[in-house]
Amino acid sequence: MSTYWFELEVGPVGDLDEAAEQLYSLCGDGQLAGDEHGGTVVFSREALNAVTAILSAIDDCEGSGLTVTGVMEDMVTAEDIAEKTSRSGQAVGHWITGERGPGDFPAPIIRRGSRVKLYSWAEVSFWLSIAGLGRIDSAAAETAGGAVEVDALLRARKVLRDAPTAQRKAMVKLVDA
Amino acid sequence: MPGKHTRAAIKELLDAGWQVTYTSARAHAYARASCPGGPDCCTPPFSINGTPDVDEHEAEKIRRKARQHHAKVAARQEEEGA
Repeated sequence: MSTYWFELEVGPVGDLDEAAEQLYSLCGDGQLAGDEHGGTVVFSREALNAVTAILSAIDDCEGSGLTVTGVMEDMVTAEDIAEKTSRSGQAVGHWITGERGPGDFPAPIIRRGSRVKLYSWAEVSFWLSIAGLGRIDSAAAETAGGAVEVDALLRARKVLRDAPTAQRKAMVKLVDA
Repeated sequence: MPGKHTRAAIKELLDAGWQVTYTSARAHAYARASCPGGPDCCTPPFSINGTPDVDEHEAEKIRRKARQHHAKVAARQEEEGA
């Protein structure tokens, strides 16, 4: 068993305390953030594999009344990287700018509606291993792959739900093939 | 009442100016925390689980929110300085 860190995107959260109470009564490894515009649940889930972790977390969220719309792998800030690697923020800053280390540090992803630079921990841990500064986090790498697959399925589910009845059957056939 | 790691992380949030509101009469949702930058800053309010499976993980999730806020503030300062 490994612990998989990932984030689920959820629809609007009406009453945060009530929604959190419902969710936490089903599972003790998620943390809900959200408001009327939408929310996220950060999970640290122990499971046999990443896909099982993500799918069971979706079940728990939807069982508590939340609507899951997406999955993101474990994304971290530069400060998180410093914390995880026990290095100073300045050292991490040098890796990012290429002043230290082998260069080509993974590019950040800037989330829609936010200017916060977030890095894929799977990519960073791979870079650290190449640079001889750490080990690959295999659970993070597995989560990154699983998150892409399940996110695609969630998007497909939304397309199917929104599709006109006449087209839905053909679309389901495509997905089932 | 959450464990010592979660309590320590909550104290760090308070020291950093986050608003923490303790919920009452709830079995699991112990508190909600709001970013000092307001609702349009780095994250919407988040709920702190008072009965997490792993106390250290809940604390780490809280600290990640605080670090996201630092990153947001740094990005804003960078833009203003540019």
